[in-house]
Amino acid sequence: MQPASRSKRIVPTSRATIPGTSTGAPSPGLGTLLVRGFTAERQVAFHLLLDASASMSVPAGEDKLAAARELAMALAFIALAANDTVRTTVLLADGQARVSRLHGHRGAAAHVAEELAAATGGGALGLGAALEAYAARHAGPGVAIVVSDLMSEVDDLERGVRALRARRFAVVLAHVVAPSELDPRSLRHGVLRDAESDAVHAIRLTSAAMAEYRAVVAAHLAALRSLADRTRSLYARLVAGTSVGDFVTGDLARLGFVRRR
Amino acid sequence: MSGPGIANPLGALAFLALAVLVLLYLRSRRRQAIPVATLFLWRRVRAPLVEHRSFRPDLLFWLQAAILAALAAACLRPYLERAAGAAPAARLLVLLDVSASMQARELDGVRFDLARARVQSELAGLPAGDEVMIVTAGARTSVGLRWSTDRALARSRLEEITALDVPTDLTPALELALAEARVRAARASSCSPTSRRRRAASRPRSRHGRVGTHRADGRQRRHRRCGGGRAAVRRHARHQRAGPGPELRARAAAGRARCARGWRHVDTAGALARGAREHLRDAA
Repeated sequence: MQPASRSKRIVPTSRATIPGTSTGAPSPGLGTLLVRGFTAERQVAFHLLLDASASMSVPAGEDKLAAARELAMALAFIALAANDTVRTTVLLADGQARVSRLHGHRGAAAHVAEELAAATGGGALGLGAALEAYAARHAGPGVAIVVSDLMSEVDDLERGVRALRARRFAVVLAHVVAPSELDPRSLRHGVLRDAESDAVHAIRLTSAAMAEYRAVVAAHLAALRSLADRTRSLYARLVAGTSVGDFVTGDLARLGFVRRR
Repeated sequence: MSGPGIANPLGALAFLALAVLVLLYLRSRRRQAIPVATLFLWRRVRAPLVEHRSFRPDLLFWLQAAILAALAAACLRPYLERAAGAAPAARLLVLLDVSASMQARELDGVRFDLARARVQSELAGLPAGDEVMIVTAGARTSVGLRWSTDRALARSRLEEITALDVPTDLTPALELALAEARVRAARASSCSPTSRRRRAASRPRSRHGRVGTHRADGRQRRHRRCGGGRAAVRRHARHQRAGPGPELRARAAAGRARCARGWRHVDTAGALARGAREHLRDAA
């Protein structure tokens, strides 16, 4: 992952026999000059903020929360494998959050997995306010990875992102979305009910309404991307049900968030 | 008084079935709540809202409701009362035997008096407006009273009629009654010992194979047919000496009871016609 912390480690990267080509210090030898090269890497603190609101459990059969957990676990394992530190935070309803301690070694992957597996969906969550509250309690530098369906007003979300940025967090918006949220063709007649507020909205699900909804969703996605650009954050979208591995090695790699070593 | 009415007001409870039908319809058509992650995107859709009209019946509902309503209305047993016109008057034709045989005395009175008392009771039971005609049958047939609704007149004419010392000739009287029956739907009563003889003819034969009428003491009064032969005569004489057996005594008691009535009542013109035909056959 990209370094974002000021703490530095020295790790071996190459071995050379040509003097003067490396910045490493010469080691004493018997007639042979052995030069070791070192690359300075910063230890990064990764803050995984997992949205566990009720909206992550709908639509039924397209478990966004499971995909979010899997993505968070993958990112945590990559970070731990790179000797970075990881803190998981499960954002719960009504501004509550379950924050873990900072894990700093590979053996903590099991603990991280347990913490993420304990996250169950339920309740209403104001994501922007939750991010603001987290930024108020934790300071950077670090990387804040927000794994959420981002189903909230962009303005509200922007306040949270800017709060994180103000606390010197690099922000990654990992947008987990269900296929039927992008294209609600499978919806039948009925009354739409908000999973978090239980508010209902009765509209005729005509083809014209479906087309307009798709346009509204596209506009929302564009607004999220624009938000990421404005706040100099990263934005990537994972469709629930698709491969998390492909998402990590594909979309996130193209963004430069992860790379092969 | 005329107009519609309801014979079974409690049948209105059957209309509750319509309410049950509506409830079932609403239950089946209740819109299902579809959970979505958020509504703020959907609220941006300018689609027409579903009216909050929970009851939107279709053709099938109306058909079911119509069937239920018809059944419920049938439970009310409605009727339409109209001012009916005057009912056609019933008619009673009394054919009274005035022959000498009607002067015979029975246990409870003279036959003719018994017959006249019965006719009087019939007249008393007739609704007002019914017509009565009295025909007497003796050696000659005469009309005691033409069709009339005057009960007092009918009763007085009936009192004036007496049994005569004449033989019976029912044929012309019955023919007259038949003629009247053809032109009017009539009820007729005939009071004649002829019917008594016919009942006797229909009784089972005695053990001697003879048919007869019975006297008050249970002994046979006369024989129409005789078995013939000396043996039969001897058996008959022995039977007469021995007196009637228990079976014969019971039959005699039944015969006396029937004779005491002395008349037969025929209610329809068809029965009257059958009786006339039998009488004509007997007379022949």
